[in-house]
Amino acid sequence: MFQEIIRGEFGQHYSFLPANAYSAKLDLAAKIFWDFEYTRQFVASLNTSPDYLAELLSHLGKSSGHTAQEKVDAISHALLNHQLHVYPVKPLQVGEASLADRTLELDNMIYQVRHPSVVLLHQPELKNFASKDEALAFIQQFDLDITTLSNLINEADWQSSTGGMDQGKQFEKLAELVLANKLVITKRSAPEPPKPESSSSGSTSNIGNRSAGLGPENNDEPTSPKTNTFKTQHEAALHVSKNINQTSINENREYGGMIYQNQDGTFSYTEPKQGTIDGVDPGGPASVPEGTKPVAYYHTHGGDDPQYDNENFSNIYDPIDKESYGDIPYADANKIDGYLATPKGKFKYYSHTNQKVETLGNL
Amino acid sequence: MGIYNAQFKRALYIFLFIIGSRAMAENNVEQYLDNEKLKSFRKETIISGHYLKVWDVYVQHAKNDNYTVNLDNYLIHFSENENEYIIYFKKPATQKILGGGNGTCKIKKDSMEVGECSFIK
Repeated sequence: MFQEIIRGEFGQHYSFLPANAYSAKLDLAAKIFWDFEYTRQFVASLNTSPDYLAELLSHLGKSSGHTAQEKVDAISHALLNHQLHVYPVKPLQVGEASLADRTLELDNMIYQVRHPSVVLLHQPELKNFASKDEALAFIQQFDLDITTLSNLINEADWQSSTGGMDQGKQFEKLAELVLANKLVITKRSAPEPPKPESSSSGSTSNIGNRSAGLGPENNDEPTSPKTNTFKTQHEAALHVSKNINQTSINENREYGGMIYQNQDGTFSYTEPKQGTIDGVDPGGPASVPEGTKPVAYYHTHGGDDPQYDNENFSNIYDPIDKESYGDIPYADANKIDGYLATPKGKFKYYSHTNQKVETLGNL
Repeated sequence: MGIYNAQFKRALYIFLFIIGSRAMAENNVEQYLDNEKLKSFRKETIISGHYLKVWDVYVQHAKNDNYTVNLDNYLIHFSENENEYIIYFKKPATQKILGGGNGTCKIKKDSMEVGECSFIK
Protein backbone atom coordinates (compact mmCIF):
# COMPACT_ATOMS: atom_id res chain seq x y z
CA MET A 1 0.00 0.00 0.00
CA PHE A 2 2.77 2.43 0.93
CA GLN A 3 4.72 1.94 -2.28
CA GLU A 4 1.84 3.45 -4.20
CA ILE A 5 2.66 6.56 -6.18
CA ILE A 6 0.07 9.29 -6.07
CA ARG A 7 -0.04 12.15 -8.48
CA GLY A 8 -0.52 15.67 -7.16
CA GLU A 9 -2.34 18.63 -8.62
CA PHE A 10 0.64 19.97 -10.53
CA GLY A 11 2.03 16.61 -11.58
CA GLN A 12 4.31 15.94 -8.63
CA HIS A 13 4.37 12.43 -7.28
CA TYR A 14 3.98 11.48 -3.64
CA SER A 15 4.06 8.42 -1.48
CA PHE A 16 2.49 8.05 1.98
CA LEU A 17 4.31 6.41 4.85
CA PRO A 18 3.23 5.99 8.47
CA ALA A 19 5.54 7.81 10.86
CA ASN A 20 6.84 4.66 12.50
CA ALA A 21 7.55 2.79 9.27
CA TYR A 22 10.44 4.80 7.99
CA SER A 23 13.55 3.63 9.75
CA ALA A 24 16.14 3.94 7.02
CA LYS A 25 18.78 6.56 7.66
CA LEU A 26 18.14 8.28 4.40
CA ASP A 27 18.10 11.98 3.95
CA LEU A 28 14.56 12.32 2.76
CA ALA A 29 12.36 15.20 3.72
CA ALA A 30 8.66 14.60 4.17
CA LYS A 31 6.37 17.33 2.94
CA ILE A 32 5.78 19.89 5.65
CA PHE A 33 2.29 20.81 6.82
CA TRP A 34 1.45 23.52 9.29
CA ASP A 35 -2.08 24.61 8.59
CA PHE A 36 -5.20 22.47 8.54
CA GLU A 37 -6.83 24.23 5.59
CA TYR A 38 -3.66 23.97 3.49
CA THR A 39 -3.28 20.30 4.42
CA ARG A 40 -6.88 19.60 3.49
CA GLN A 41 -6.47 21.29 0.14
CA PHE A 42 -3.34 19.29 -0.51
CA VAL A 43 -4.96 15.95 0.34
CA ALA A 44 -8.08 16.79 -1.66
CA SER A 45 -5.94 17.68 -4.68
CA LEU A 46 -4.27 14.27 -4.79
CA ASN A 47 -5.31 12.00 -7.57
CA THR A 48 -6.38 9.16 -5.31
CA SER A 49 -9.56 7.44 -4.23
CA PRO A 50 -11.50 7.61 -0.95
CA ASP A 51 -10.95 3.85 -0.70
CA TYR A 52 -7.19 4.33 -0.69
CA LEU A 53 -7.49 7.01 1.99
CA ALA A 54 -9.71 4.67 4.02
CA GLU A 55 -7.07 1.94 3.68
CA LEU A 56 -4.40 4.31 4.97
CA LEU A 57 -6.57 5.31 7.91
CA SER A 58 -7.36 1.70 8.69
CA HIS A 59 -3.62 0.97 8.77
CA LEU A 60 -3.23 3.76 11.29
CA GLY A 61 -6.10 2.33 13.34
CA LYS A 62 -8.22 5.39 12.75
CA SER A 63 -11.82 5.67 11.80
CA SER A 64 -12.24 7.00 8.30
CA GLY A 65 -15.75 8.40 8.58
CA HIS A 66 -18.36 7.99 5.91
CA THR A 67 -17.91 10.68 3.34
CA ALA A 68 -14.96 11.44 1.11
CA GLN A 69 -14.56 14.77 2.88
CA GLU A 70 -14.36 13.05 6.27
CA LYS A 71 -11.61 10.82 4.94
CA VAL A 72 -9.70 13.82 3.62
CA ASP A 73 -10.08 15.52 7.00
CA ALA A 74 -8.90 12.43 8.88
CA ILE A 75 -5.84 12.07 6.65
CA SER A 76 -5.12 15.78 7.08
CA HIS A 77 -5.21 15.42 10.86
CA ALA A 78 -2.88 12.40 10.64
CA LEU A 79 -0.43 14.44 8.57
CA LEU A 80 -0.56 17.41 10.90
CA ASN A 81 -0.12 15.15 13.93
CA HIS A 82 2.85 13.39 12.26
CA GLN A 83 1.17 10.00 12.40
CA LEU A 84 1.46 9.89 8.66
CA HIS A 85 4.06 11.38 6.36
CA VAL A 86 3.95 12.12 2.69
CA TYR A 87 7.16 12.15 0.69
CA PRO A 88 7.70 13.75 -2.69
CA VAL A 89 9.08 10.96 -4.85
CA LYS A 90 10.39 10.52 -8.34
CA PRO A 91 9.02 7.42 -9.98
CA LEU A 92 11.59 7.50 -12.73
CA GLN A 93 14.76 9.25 -11.87
CA VAL A 94 15.66 12.60 -10.59
CA GLY A 95 17.57 15.33 -12.23
CA GLU A 96 19.37 15.60 -15.49
CA ALA A 97 21.57 12.51 -15.39
CA SER A 98 20.01 9.60 -17.26
CA LEU A 99 19.83 6.11 -15.80
CA ALA A 100 22.46 4.96 -18.27
CA ASP A 101 24.83 7.72 -17.14
CA ARG A 102 24.59 6.68 -13.52
CA THR A 103 25.01 2.95 -13.92
CA LEU A 104 28.01 0.73 -13.25
CA GLU A 105 28.10 -2.92 -14.18
CA LEU A 106 30.66 -4.80 -12.14
CA ASP A 107 31.07 -8.49 -11.35
CA ASN A 108 27.61 -9.40 -12.63
CA MET A 109 26.01 -6.71 -10.50
CA ILE A 110 24.41 -3.46 -11.60
CA TYR A 111 24.98 -0.43 -9.41
CA GLN A 112 23.20 2.87 -9.82
CA VAL A 113 23.56 6.22 -8.11
CA ARG A 114 20.00 7.14 -7.19
CA HIS A 115 18.01 9.65 -5.23
CA PRO A 116 17.02 8.21 -1.83
CA SER A 117 13.32 8.34 -2.70
CA VAL A 118 13.88 5.25 -4.83
CA VAL A 119 13.92 3.35 -1.53
CA LEU A 120 10.36 4.36 -0.77
CA LEU A 121 9.18 3.08 -4.11
CA HIS A 122 11.13 -0.06 -4.84
CA GLN A 123 13.01 -0.96 -1.65
CA PRO A 124 16.14 -1.91 -3.56
CA GLU A 125 19.21 -3.42 -1.98
CA LEU A 126 21.73 -0.69 -1.15
CA LYS A 127 25.49 -0.74 -1.11
CA ASN A 128 26.82 0.64 2.15
CA PHE A 129 30.15 2.19 2.91
CA ALA A 130 32.08 2.48 6.16
CA SER A 131 34.09 5.53 5.21
CA LYS A 132 34.36 8.31 2.68
CA ASP A 133 37.50 6.75 1.23
CA GLU A 134 35.68 3.48 0.67
CA ALA A 135 32.77 5.26 -0.96
CA LEU A 136 35.11 7.33 -3.11
CA ALA A 137 37.08 4.31 -4.30
CA PHE A 138 33.87 2.60 -5.34
CA ILE A 139 32.26 5.61 -6.99
CA GLN A 140 35.37 6.34 -9.00
CA GLN A 141 34.70 3.13 -10.90
CA PHE A 142 31.60 4.74 -12.43
CA ASP A 143 32.17 6.35 -15.79
CA LEU A 144 30.98 9.77 -14.66
CA ASP A 145 32.00 12.80 -16.64
CA ILE A 146 32.00 16.23 -15.08
CA THR A 147 28.52 17.01 -16.42
CA THR A 148 26.97 13.91 -14.91
CA LEU A 149 28.81 14.47 -11.64
CA SER A 150 27.48 18.00 -11.46
CA ASN A 151 23.96 16.82 -12.17
CA LEU A 152 24.11 14.07 -9.56
CA ILE A 153 25.44 16.45 -6.91
CA ASN A 154 22.69 18.87 -7.82
CA GLU A 155 20.20 16.06 -7.48
CA ALA A 156 21.17 15.50 -3.85
CA ASP A 157 21.06 19.17 -3.06
CA TRP A 158 19.81 21.46 -5.74
CA GLN A 159 21.04 24.54 -3.92
CA SER A 160 24.62 23.35 -4.00
CA SER A 161 26.97 24.49 -6.74
CA THR A 162 29.75 22.57 -8.38
CA GLY A 163 31.12 25.60 -10.19
CA GLY A 164 34.86 25.66 -9.82
CA MET A 165 35.19 22.03 -8.75
CA ASP A 166 37.35 19.82 -10.92
CA GLN A 167 36.38 16.21 -11.58
CA GLY A 168 38.34 14.89 -8.60
CA LYS A 169 36.66 17.31 -6.22
CA GLN A 170 33.26 16.43 -7.64
CA PHE A 171 33.91 12.72 -7.07
CA GLU A 172 34.84 13.55 -3.48
CA LYS A 173 31.67 15.59 -3.05
CA LEU A 174 29.62 12.74 -4.48
CA ALA A 175 31.24 10.31 -2.03
CA GLU A 176 30.34 12.64 0.84
CA LEU A 177 26.75 12.79 -0.33
CA VAL A 178 26.53 9.01 -0.57
CA LEU A 179 28.00 8.61 2.87
CA ALA A 180 25.47 11.13 4.20
CA ASN A 181 22.65 9.17 2.51
CA LYS A 182 21.67 12.14 0.38
CA LEU A 183 22.22 9.78 -2.55
CA VAL A 184 22.21 6.00 -2.47
CA ILE A 185 23.91 3.31 -4.50
CA THR A 186 21.42 0.61 -5.42
CA LYS A 187 22.59 -2.83 -6.42
CA ARG A 188 21.00 -5.77 -8.17
CA SER A 189 22.08 -8.75 -10.17
CA ALA A 190 22.79 -8.15 -13.81
CA PRO A 191 20.29 -9.69 -16.20
CA GLU A 192 21.25 -12.33 -18.75
CA PRO A 193 24.25 -11.25 -20.82
CA PRO A 194 23.12 -9.09 -23.70
CA LYS A 195 23.19 -10.45 -27.21
CA PRO A 196 26.15 -9.26 -29.24
CA GLU A 197 25.63 -5.81 -30.73
CA SER A 198 22.39 -5.16 -28.87
CA SER A 199 23.04 -2.58 -26.24
CA SER A 200 20.71 -2.13 -23.31
CA SER A 201 20.36 1.54 -24.01
CA GLY A 202 18.84 1.02 -26.97
CA SER A 203 17.56 1.36 -30.10
CA THR A 204 19.52 4.13 -31.58
CA SER A 205 21.97 1.98 -33.42
CA ASN A 206 19.34 -0.54 -34.33
CA ILE A 207 16.89 1.76 -35.90
CA GLY A 208 19.18 3.45 -38.28
CA ASN A 209 18.43 5.62 -41.21
CA ARG A 210 15.59 3.53 -42.11
CA SER A 211 12.16 3.50 -43.00
CA ALA A 212 10.09 0.60 -43.71
CA GLY A 213 7.08 0.11 -45.68
CA LEU A 214 5.10 0.46 -42.65
CA GLY A 215 1.58 -0.02 -42.62
CA PRO A 216 -0.31 -0.63 -39.50
CA GLU A 217 -0.08 -4.26 -40.45
CA ASN A 218 3.71 -4.25 -40.48
CA ASN A 219 5.44 -3.02 -37.37
CA ASP A 220 8.47 -5.24 -37.62
CA GLU A 221 11.94 -3.95 -38.16
CA PRO A 222 12.65 -3.68 -41.84
CA THR A 223 14.77 -6.41 -43.29
CA SER A 224 14.50 -5.79 -46.97
CA PRO A 225 15.65 -2.82 -49.01
CA LYS A 226 12.25 -2.90 -50.64
CA THR A 227 10.61 -1.91 -47.40
CA ASN A 228 12.71 1.07 -46.46
CA THR A 229 10.37 3.85 -47.36
CA PHE A 230 6.92 4.99 -46.34
CA LYS A 231 4.05 6.31 -48.35
CA THR A 232 3.43 9.26 -46.04
CA GLN A 233 5.42 11.31 -43.58
CA HIS A 234 2.93 10.35 -40.83
CA GLU A 235 3.78 6.71 -41.37
CA ALA A 236 7.52 7.32 -41.24
CA ALA A 237 7.17 9.36 -38.06
CA LEU A 238 4.86 6.80 -36.45
CA HIS A 239 7.25 3.97 -37.17
CA VAL A 240 10.32 5.57 -35.66
CA SER A 241 8.35 6.99 -32.74
CA LYS A 242 6.99 3.55 -31.90
CA ASN A 243 10.48 2.14 -31.99
CA ILE A 244 12.15 4.69 -29.79
CA ASN A 245 9.52 5.89 -27.32
CA GLN A 246 9.84 3.11 -24.76
CA THR A 247 13.63 3.52 -24.64
CA SER A 248 13.10 7.24 -24.22
CA ILE A 249 10.67 6.68 -21.35
CA ASN A 250 12.92 4.15 -19.63
CA GLU A 251 15.93 6.45 -19.84
CA ASN A 252 13.92 9.63 -19.20
CA ARG A 253 15.82 11.12 -22.09
CA GLU A 254 14.59 12.73 -25.28
CA TYR A 255 15.30 11.32 -28.70
CA GLY A 256 14.73 13.00 -32.03
CA GLY A 257 15.53 13.09 -35.70
CA MET A 258 14.26 14.26 -39.06
CA ILE A 259 11.65 13.04 -41.52
CA TYR A 260 12.49 13.66 -45.16
CA GLN A 261 10.98 13.10 -48.58
CA ASN A 262 12.92 11.04 -51.08
CA GLN A 263 13.13 11.93 -54.75
CA ASP A 264 10.55 9.26 -55.59
CA GLY A 265 8.03 10.92 -53.28
CA THR A 266 8.33 8.40 -50.43
CA PHE A 267 9.38 9.33 -46.91
CA SER A 268 12.15 8.18 -44.58
CA TYR A 269 13.65 9.21 -41.28
CA THR A 270 17.12 9.84 -39.90
CA GLU A 271 18.52 7.86 -37.00
CA PRO A 272 17.19 8.96 -33.61
CA LYS A 273 19.69 11.15 -31.80
CA GLN A 274 20.04 11.04 -28.07
CA GLY A 275 19.11 14.19 -26.22
CA THR A 276 18.89 15.06 -22.56
CA ILE A 277 16.12 15.06 -19.98
CA ASP A 278 14.70 18.27 -21.43
CA GLY A 279 15.92 18.75 -24.98
CA VAL A 280 17.18 17.22 -28.16
CA ASP A 281 18.76 18.43 -31.36
CA PRO A 282 17.02 16.49 -34.14
CA GLY A 283 19.72 17.53 -36.59
CA GLY A 284 17.76 20.16 -38.46
CA PRO A 285 17.08 20.43 -42.19
CA ALA A 286 20.79 20.26 -43.01
CA SER A 287 21.05 16.74 -41.59
CA VAL A 288 18.89 14.96 -44.17
CA PRO A 289 20.60 13.06 -47.03
CA GLU A 290 21.57 15.00 -50.13
CA GLY A 291 18.86 15.13 -52.76
CA THR A 292 16.05 14.69 -50.23
CA LYS A 293 13.75 17.30 -48.76
CA PRO A 294 13.28 17.83 -44.99
CA VAL A 295 9.59 17.87 -44.13
CA ALA A 296 9.41 17.40 -40.37
CA TYR A 297 11.21 16.54 -37.18
CA TYR A 298 10.14 13.81 -34.79
CA HIS A 299 10.96 13.57 -31.12
CA THR A 300 10.07 11.93 -27.84
CA HIS A 301 9.72 13.49 -24.41
CA GLY A 302 11.32 10.89 -22.17
CA GLY A 303 9.53 9.88 -18.99
CA ASP A 304 6.53 11.31 -17.17
CA ASP A 305 8.55 13.76 -15.12
CA PRO A 306 6.44 16.04 -12.92
CA GLN A 307 8.75 19.00 -13.30
CA TYR A 308 7.95 19.20 -16.98
CA ASP A 309 5.04 19.65 -19.34
CA ASN A 310 5.46 16.18 -20.78
CA GLU A 311 2.42 15.72 -22.98
CA ASN A 312 2.56 18.79 -25.18
CA PHE A 313 4.67 20.42 -27.84
CA SER A 314 6.60 23.12 -26.06
CA ASN A 315 6.30 26.80 -26.79
CA ILE A 316 7.46 29.38 -24.30
CA TYR A 317 8.02 33.09 -24.65
CA ASP A 318 11.41 34.13 -23.41
CA PRO A 319 11.30 37.59 -21.82
CA ILE A 320 15.11 37.76 -21.79
CA ASP A 321 15.70 37.29 -25.52
CA LYS A 322 12.16 38.40 -26.39
CA GLU A 323 11.48 35.44 -28.62
CA SER A 324 9.81 32.07 -28.29
CA TYR A 325 11.56 28.77 -27.68
CA GLY A 326 10.55 25.15 -27.82
CA ASP A 327 9.17 22.59 -30.24
CA ILE A 328 6.68 24.78 -32.07
CA PRO A 329 9.02 27.74 -32.66
CA TYR A 330 11.61 25.23 -33.89
CA ALA A 331 9.16 23.91 -36.49
CA ASP A 332 8.08 27.38 -37.53
CA ALA A 333 11.64 28.69 -37.81
CA ASN A 334 12.66 25.77 -40.03
CA LYS A 335 9.35 25.67 -41.93
CA ILE A 336 8.85 22.01 -41.16
CA ASP A 337 6.21 19.99 -39.31
CA GLY A 338 6.76 18.30 -35.97
CA TYR A 339 5.90 14.98 -34.35
CA LEU A 340 5.86 14.17 -30.67
CA ALA A 341 5.67 10.84 -28.86
CA THR A 342 4.67 11.45 -25.25
CA PRO A 343 5.29 9.48 -22.06
CA LYS A 344 1.61 8.51 -22.02
CA GLY A 345 1.94 7.07 -25.51
CA LYS A 346 0.19 9.81 -27.45
CA PHE A 347 1.37 10.49 -30.98
CA LYS A 348 0.98 14.18 -31.82
CA TYR A 349 1.52 16.22 -34.93
CA TYR A 350 2.16 19.93 -35.43
CA SER A 351 1.51 21.37 -38.86
CA HIS A 352 3.58 24.49 -39.38
CA THR A 353 1.41 25.59 -42.29
CA ASN A 354 -1.84 25.44 -40.27
CA GLN A 355 -0.06 26.13 -36.97
CA LYS A 356 -2.24 23.50 -35.36
CA VAL A 357 -1.55 20.54 -33.10
CA GLU A 358 -3.41 17.31 -33.68
CA THR A 359 -3.32 14.03 -31.79
CA LEU A 360 -2.98 11.34 -34.41
CA GLY A 361 -3.52 8.46 -32.00
CA ASN A 362 -1.74 6.24 -29.54
CA LEU A 363 1.57 4.51 -30.11
CA MET B 1 10.15 41.33 12.60
CA GLY B 2 12.99 38.97 13.50
CA ILE B 3 11.41 36.24 11.40
CA TYR B 4 11.01 38.67 8.53
CA ASN B 5 14.69 39.63 8.71
CA ALA B 6 15.74 36.01 8.78
CA GLN B 7 13.59 35.22 5.78
CA PHE B 8 14.95 38.18 3.90
CA LYS B 9 18.55 37.29 4.66
CA ARG B 10 17.93 33.76 3.57
CA ALA B 11 16.34 34.86 0.31
CA LEU B 12 19.21 37.27 -0.28
CA TYR B 13 21.74 34.56 0.37
CA ILE B 14 20.03 32.22 -2.08
CA PHE B 15 19.82 34.88 -4.74
CA LEU B 16 23.44 35.91 -4.35
CA PHE B 17 24.34 32.27 -4.52
CA ILE B 18 22.60 31.99 -7.87
CA ILE B 19 24.14 35.01 -9.47
CA GLY B 20 27.48 34.36 -7.90
CA SER B 21 27.88 30.70 -8.58
CA ARG B 22 30.20 29.77 -11.36
CA ALA B 23 28.47 28.68 -14.47
CA MET B 24 30.89 25.87 -15.20
CA ALA B 25 31.90 27.51 -18.44
CA GLU B 26 34.90 25.29 -18.79
CA ASN B 27 32.79 22.19 -18.35
CA ASN B 28 30.97 20.52 -21.13
CA VAL B 29 27.80 20.84 -19.12
CA GLU B 30 25.57 20.16 -22.03
CA GLN B 31 26.48 20.25 -25.63
CA TYR B 32 24.50 23.36 -26.40
CA LEU B 33 24.57 25.14 -23.08
CA ASP B 34 25.68 28.73 -23.68
CA ASN B 35 28.24 29.13 -20.94
CA GLU B 36 29.37 32.49 -22.26
CA LYS B 37 25.90 33.88 -21.86
CA LEU B 38 25.58 32.42 -18.39
CA LYS B 39 28.88 34.06 -17.47
CA SER B 40 27.93 37.40 -18.98
CA PHE B 41 25.11 37.83 -16.47
CA ARG B 42 27.37 37.34 -13.51
CA LYS B 43 27.97 40.97 -12.74
CA GLU B 44 26.84 43.63 -10.35
CA THR B 45 23.10 43.85 -10.38
CA ILE B 46 20.16 45.34 -8.54
CA ILE B 47 17.03 43.48 -7.64
CA SER B 48 13.93 44.36 -5.72
CA GLY B 49 13.91 42.92 -2.21
CA HIS B 50 10.29 42.05 -2.80
CA TYR B 51 11.30 39.78 -5.66
CA LEU B 52 13.71 38.07 -3.32
CA LYS B 53 10.77 37.29 -1.07
CA VAL B 54 8.99 35.89 -4.10
CA TRP B 55 12.06 33.80 -4.85
CA ASP B 56 12.03 32.48 -1.31
CA VAL B 57 8.48 31.23 -1.85
CA TYR B 58 9.63 29.36 -4.94
CA VAL B 59 12.60 27.88 -3.10
CA GLN B 60 10.39 26.53 -0.34
CA HIS B 61 8.07 25.02 -2.93
CA ALA B 62 10.90 23.47 -4.90
CA LYS B 63 12.49 22.07 -1.77
CA ASN B 64 9.23 20.61 -0.58
CA ASP B 65 8.62 18.90 -3.88
CA ASN B 66 12.17 17.74 -4.52
CA TYR B 67 12.70 19.84 -7.61
CA THR B 68 16.09 19.23 -9.10
CA VAL B 69 16.67 21.90 -11.68
CA ASN B 70 20.39 22.62 -11.77
CA LEU B 71 20.40 26.37 -11.17
CA ASP B 72 24.01 26.64 -12.30
CA ASN B 73 22.68 26.26 -15.82
CA TYR B 74 19.97 28.92 -15.63
CA LEU B 75 19.34 32.63 -15.87
CA ILE B 76 16.42 33.84 -13.77
CA HIS B 77 14.02 36.60 -14.79
CA PHE B 78 11.37 38.18 -12.56
CA SER B 79 8.23 39.93 -13.73
CA GLU B 80 4.68 40.46 -12.53
CA ASN B 81 1.19 41.17 -13.75
CA GLU B 82 -1.92 42.22 -11.88
CA ASN B 83 -2.42 38.91 -10.12
CA GLU B 84 0.86 37.07 -10.03
CA TYR B 85 4.61 37.13 -9.97
CA ILE B 86 6.30 35.21 -12.74
CA ILE B 87 9.73 33.68 -12.37
CA TYR B 88 11.17 32.69 -15.72
CA PHE B 89 13.98 30.15 -15.89
CA LYS B 90 16.13 30.26 -18.97
CA LYS B 91 18.71 27.68 -19.91
CA PRO B 92 20.63 29.56 -22.61
CA ALA B 93 21.66 27.51 -25.61
CA THR B 94 24.11 28.16 -28.41
CA GLN B 95 21.57 26.97 -30.96
CA LYS B 96 17.87 26.25 -31.10
CA ILE B 97 16.89 22.76 -30.09
CA LEU B 98 13.62 21.00 -29.35
CA GLY B 99 12.49 21.63 -25.79
CA GLY B 100 15.39 23.18 -23.97
CA GLY B 101 14.45 23.19 -20.30
CA ASN B 102 13.21 26.76 -19.91
CA GLY B 103 10.32 27.19 -17.52
CA THR B 104 8.07 29.44 -15.52
CA CYS B 105 6.77 29.44 -12.00
CA LYS B 106 3.86 31.67 -11.07
CA ILE B 107 3.20 32.88 -7.55
CA LYS B 108 -0.16 34.33 -6.60
CA LYS B 109 0.03 37.87 -5.29
CA ASP B 110 -2.91 37.61 -2.93
CA SER B 111 -1.78 34.50 -1.09
CA MET B 112 1.90 34.22 -2.07
CA GLU B 113 1.17 30.61 -2.93
CA VAL B 114 2.83 28.84 -5.82
CA GLY B 115 0.54 28.33 -8.77
CA GLU B 116 1.57 26.73 -12.02
CA CYS B 117 5.22 25.69 -12.19
CA SER B 118 6.46 23.91 -15.26
CA PHE B 119 9.51 23.46 -17.44
CA ILE B 120 9.51 22.70 -21.14
CA LYS B 121 11.01 19.70 -22.80
